[in-house]
Amino acid sequence: MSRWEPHADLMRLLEALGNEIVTATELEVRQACAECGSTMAGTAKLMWSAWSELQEEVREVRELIDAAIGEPGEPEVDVEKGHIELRTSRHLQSVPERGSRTCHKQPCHKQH
Amino acid sequence: MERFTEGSGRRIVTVDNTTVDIACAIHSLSDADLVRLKALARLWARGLPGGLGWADVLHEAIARALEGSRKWPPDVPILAFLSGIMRSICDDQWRRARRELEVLVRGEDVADLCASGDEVKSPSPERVVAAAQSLAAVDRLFACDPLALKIIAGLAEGLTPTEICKFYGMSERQYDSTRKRMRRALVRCGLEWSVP
Repeated sequence: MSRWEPHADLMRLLEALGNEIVTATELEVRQACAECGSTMAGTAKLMWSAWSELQEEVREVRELIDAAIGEPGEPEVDVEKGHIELRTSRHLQSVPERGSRTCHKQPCHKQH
Repeated sequence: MERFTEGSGRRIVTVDNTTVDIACAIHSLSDADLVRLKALARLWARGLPGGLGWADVLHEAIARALEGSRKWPPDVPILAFLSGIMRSICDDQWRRARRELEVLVRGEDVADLCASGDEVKSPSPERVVAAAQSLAAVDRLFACDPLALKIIAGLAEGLTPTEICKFYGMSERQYDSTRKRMRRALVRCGLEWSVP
């Protein structure tokens, strides 16, 4: 009889569940959001209204991302202008002064 | 690896393009992607020692991704890439907790333990207990869905979808529709996150 290793089971399970979240479609995400509210009727109308209420959650994650990417030591990215401003030298072979370089690249496409 | 180089006087500035691409990809995530990202962070952060929350895990994952210590494979979606990093953070956090506990118990210096390459093979009792609790929490999340519980059990044992269907006598259609319900529950849970 083999020994139960819950930590190994959990990691396998979390990985599989993580993949499920990654592969969830936008419709499934919206349905899930609709189901989150107290109004669980699940009609299309409620589904979209729940989505607007969700903007607070989305803003929270976006702010976190801005904080993480905009920190000193990390490049500041302007997606619309398609450039990255280098603040410090972590990814550089030589050290420019803070904010003294702007490297242009093609605007990136949205990931889906 | 593709690199971007800009010359300026005597200085050559080289930017790892992957870092730029990762930053761009993260900035470009849609609202639905952000919801999924938060759900992923909550999934991996659950039960971590040291009071690490989902926001800490996500922040650290983004920092590691930008650091370039882990390469972003071309065909891997950015969410899957970040999820992989969060998994590493989860492992690292448990290892760190174990080392700290050993330092307390044995009175050794953390640096000595790390320098001697003392890689912990077996999990700490705390991790085993936390894992068992998390598995129970996932079971409770799907308690009203017997088919989902079967899939959960199969996934935890590392079975493939075909093996799960065969073992539990599930049709392919049942498997797919159950997975859809599971995905919605996971996203929902990532938003509310208080598994009963």
